[in-house]
Amino acid sequence: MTEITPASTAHPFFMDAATGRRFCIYHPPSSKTACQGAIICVPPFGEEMNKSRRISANLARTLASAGFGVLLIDLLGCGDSSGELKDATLAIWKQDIAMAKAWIERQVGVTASLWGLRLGALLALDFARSSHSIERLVLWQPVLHGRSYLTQLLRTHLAADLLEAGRSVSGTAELRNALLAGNSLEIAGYDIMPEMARALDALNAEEFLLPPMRIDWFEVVSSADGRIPPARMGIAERWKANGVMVDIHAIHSQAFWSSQEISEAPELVAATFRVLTETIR
Amino acid sequence: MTASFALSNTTNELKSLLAHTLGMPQVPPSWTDDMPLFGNIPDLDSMTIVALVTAIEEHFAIEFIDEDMTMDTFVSLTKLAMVVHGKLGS
Repeated sequence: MTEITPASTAHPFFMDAATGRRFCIYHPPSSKTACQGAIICVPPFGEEMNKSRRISANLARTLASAGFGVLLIDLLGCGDSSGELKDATLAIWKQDIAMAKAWIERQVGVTASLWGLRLGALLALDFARSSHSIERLVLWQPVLHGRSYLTQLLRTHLAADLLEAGRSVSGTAELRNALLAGNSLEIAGYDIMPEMARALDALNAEEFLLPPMRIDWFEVVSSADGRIPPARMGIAERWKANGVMVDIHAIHSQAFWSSQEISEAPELVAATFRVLTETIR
Repeated sequence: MTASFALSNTTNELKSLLAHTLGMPQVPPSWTDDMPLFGNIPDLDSMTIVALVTAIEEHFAIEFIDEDMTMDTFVSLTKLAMVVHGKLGS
């Protein structure tokens, strides 16, 4: 497996996995400072991942310059990794996270934190609750209910019908039932398989019993709104009640995952950098 | 507060949510309440519509059903505001 010598530039490479290879970009910690930590970026899904590439690279570079080793990984069937999305399962994606974690911890010799974006945040939470090896999570606009997220994907299918034909020819319940009955569904160019749909439906972060850890949750709020939806606040309170240290940071910034133009959301990057560098263990 | 004033408020909130969803720093001054959404906003694709609906659901603590996903709902900001008001029981 590839070993990287710390330097100031990003190192793209393929990491060998049990099935195929995963495309990774490693930002080694600056040699000008002592290593401050290790972070793995767990990416969002589909178009949200494409829209997050630049902002992820920006934060990774910034953190590396401050002494963090940061690994960006494309999960099986996503981005530039090998395999098809139809072969991916949440279990394999969690294996990818475990593999990435072991790799970066060998590089820098410290326990890695996870930085999850959107669906990647839900995946990171799911990994953390079962692995008991995560001390810190950074969440960006986390997806918290897999079922709601799947509904959003199904709605995208309906909305595409709407724009194309002026009306939707089916409903989310019908599409979900077809998926759960064993049929795959193509949504905006991404093949959603029945096993993935079932696994997403079952993921509810509200019910996760997380081990003791620190969570920094960054929620992007609109300038007009400025508040975090109470239902989402309630989930953080629930985790806190179970002994998890949760800090929610409301950030006035662009919706990096849905913006039509690629967003750099500098306020979000700066806030995350500040929190991570000010709270080094 | 009159019903028309409340509807106007909701329409303004929807403008902000739509601008935020599209990644715009502020609401363009050219956006009027009765502006048709389709055709006037070239970037309004299926993913944007879904992101907007999700943002509306979270902001107003309401839920859209499949029957709401029609062209009629999104014909203008005012019409969308009326759908939201209907769910709020206003």
